Amino acid sequence: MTEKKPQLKVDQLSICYHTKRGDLKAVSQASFTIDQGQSVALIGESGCGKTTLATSIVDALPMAASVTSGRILYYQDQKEIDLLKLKRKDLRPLLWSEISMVFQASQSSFNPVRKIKTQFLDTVWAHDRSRSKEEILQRASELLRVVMLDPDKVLNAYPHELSGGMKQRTLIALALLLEPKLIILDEPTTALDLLTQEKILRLLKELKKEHGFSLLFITHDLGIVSELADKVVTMYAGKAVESAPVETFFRSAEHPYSRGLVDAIPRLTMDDREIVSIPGTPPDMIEQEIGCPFAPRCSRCLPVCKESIPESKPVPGGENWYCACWNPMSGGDACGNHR
Amino acid sequence: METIVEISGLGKSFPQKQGQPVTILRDVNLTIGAGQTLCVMGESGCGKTTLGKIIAGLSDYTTGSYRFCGKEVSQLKGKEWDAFRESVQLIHQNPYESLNPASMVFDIIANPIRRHRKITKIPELYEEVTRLLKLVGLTPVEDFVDKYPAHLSGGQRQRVSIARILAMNPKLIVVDEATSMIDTSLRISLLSTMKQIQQELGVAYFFITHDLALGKYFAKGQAAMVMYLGRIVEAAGMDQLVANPCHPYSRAIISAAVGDTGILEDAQFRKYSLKDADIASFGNMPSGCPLHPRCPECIDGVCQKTNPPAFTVETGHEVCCFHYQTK
Repeated sequence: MTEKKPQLKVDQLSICYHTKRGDLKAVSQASFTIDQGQSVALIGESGCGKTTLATSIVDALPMAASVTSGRILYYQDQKEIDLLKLKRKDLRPLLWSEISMVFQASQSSFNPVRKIKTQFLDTVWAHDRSRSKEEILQRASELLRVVMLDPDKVLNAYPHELSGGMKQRTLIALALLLEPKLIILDEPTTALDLLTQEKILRLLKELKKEHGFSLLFITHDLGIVSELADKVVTMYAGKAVESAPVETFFRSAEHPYSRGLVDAIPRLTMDDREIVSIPGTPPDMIEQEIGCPFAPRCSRCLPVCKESIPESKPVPGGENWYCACWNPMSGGDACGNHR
Repeated sequence: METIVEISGLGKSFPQKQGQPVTILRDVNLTIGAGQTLCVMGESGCGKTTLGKIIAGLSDYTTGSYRFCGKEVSQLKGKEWDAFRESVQLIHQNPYESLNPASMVFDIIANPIRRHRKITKIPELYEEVTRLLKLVGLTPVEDFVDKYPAHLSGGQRQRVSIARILAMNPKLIVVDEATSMIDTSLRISLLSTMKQIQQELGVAYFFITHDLALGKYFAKGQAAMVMYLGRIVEAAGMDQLVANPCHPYSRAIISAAVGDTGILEDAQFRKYSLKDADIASFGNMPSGCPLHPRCPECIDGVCQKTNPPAFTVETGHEVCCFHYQTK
């Protein structure tokens, strides 16, 4: 990586779910960038729109949801493509060969009645009919060996014959099959025990170094974030409230919510540190109040917080560091906002 | 200190349609004192939930003995059995499935009181429900009594199920991964409420988790165990265990929890990993020490043959590993 070129840019994206009670703004005007070879962690509590945002990138949103505004820009060989404007037939070749996604329920992502081998072959042939079976299977075996699985055993197995960790690793191998430039991982290691999780994280780091792809991963486990991410994007109530380099995030997050998250994790090695949890409950996403959505739970809430929504602004003195808050942790003036 | 749970040589095996029965728990020994916490850690499928169910009386055991307040549980009948079931309660893992969606919070908590404590007058019930809801921190109480579970967040639901359990005045609460479905931001407040309840009411907890840091926070200064494939491989005080893990498996999980970037944790631990062998399962249990195919310090000719018994490292710290035999 000599210079940083963007791989994917999410620009002012809003996504709505149409429900009986009214429109639920799952994502509202979220913006962030993923550079080439960078790994970005998307964190936030459940129901804050992380998964919705990620699925919109691969056009896999549920029927009830629709993108209401914004752009998702993907950069392919200097060319800028707006994924949301592409026709389905133009988007499909991009999926999996450029952008692949490992879904949350990876345990059930495989077709249960077909052998793993067939599913690898189908994936390649959907993109390139001319490749021979032997060639593909050889590549698949290489990748499976990389994720520390026995290719002969796995390729000839049905999904139910593999354990949860094995399926997850097989899925990661499948995601790498066409050498994509961007891999989206939704909760890559939930349902895995600690040792398998460590193994998969180590593996992803090595693969990233070797193949130079970008990663977008969703998690609420900050331990994984500290291991794998270069950049952390915090989401709250559908908004990207802070985007910061990983060390900055853990050392001195600006947004009170990010800081609250960091302070709320118990750690093994630090003794007698007071752990403080964030008071209150997650917001109602349908009947949203005016002003900052975090204001009712925030200890640094000002009158202005209840009146208008803060915009995302660069934090002075920080590179690639954005925060949307009227009264950030380092003081009201730091973001160029008024007190 | 009064001991309420005494388990020795406990084993559990499940019969199979074909072939040998599969043994899940083997030779489990533990005690829990009144008002104490015992934290059990281990990977998924190592038998920790099965052990929790046996302790809560939801499952029987095949060998060994389990004495609750001095009485053998498998011999309990009638009234004594009812009393045992009342004094041991279980918090389920998933608060989204453990509450009746068609009952109001008031009824969820009041029904067990009506059934077991024979209080039926509404004003008395209301008083009792109010007391319980205040105890678990669901205040103002008026906001919650007429809500349905669907109106509550995961953390609030888990608080309701704790209130329901406290209605029985239990002596022991089995907590089975009760916070794993709850957001990180709400976990700690729930755990501190549980700790506070312990101080006020003196209940004991059997705390099952796979999150080491969470276990350390909750069971600070209390006892802890590490399980691997249905055996307790290391038992010590929580702080002893984290500061000086002895069993290779404990060392590996603590090293994995700390990570190696040093951003989240101060990396004071030496990196320690197990070998990448196939992870053994209950169906195909290795001979000797269950960890030996993955253990980097396996002693040739010893670990493959015999299952190590517990050796004492220091007072209150026992390890099932031959490396500590002479020490």
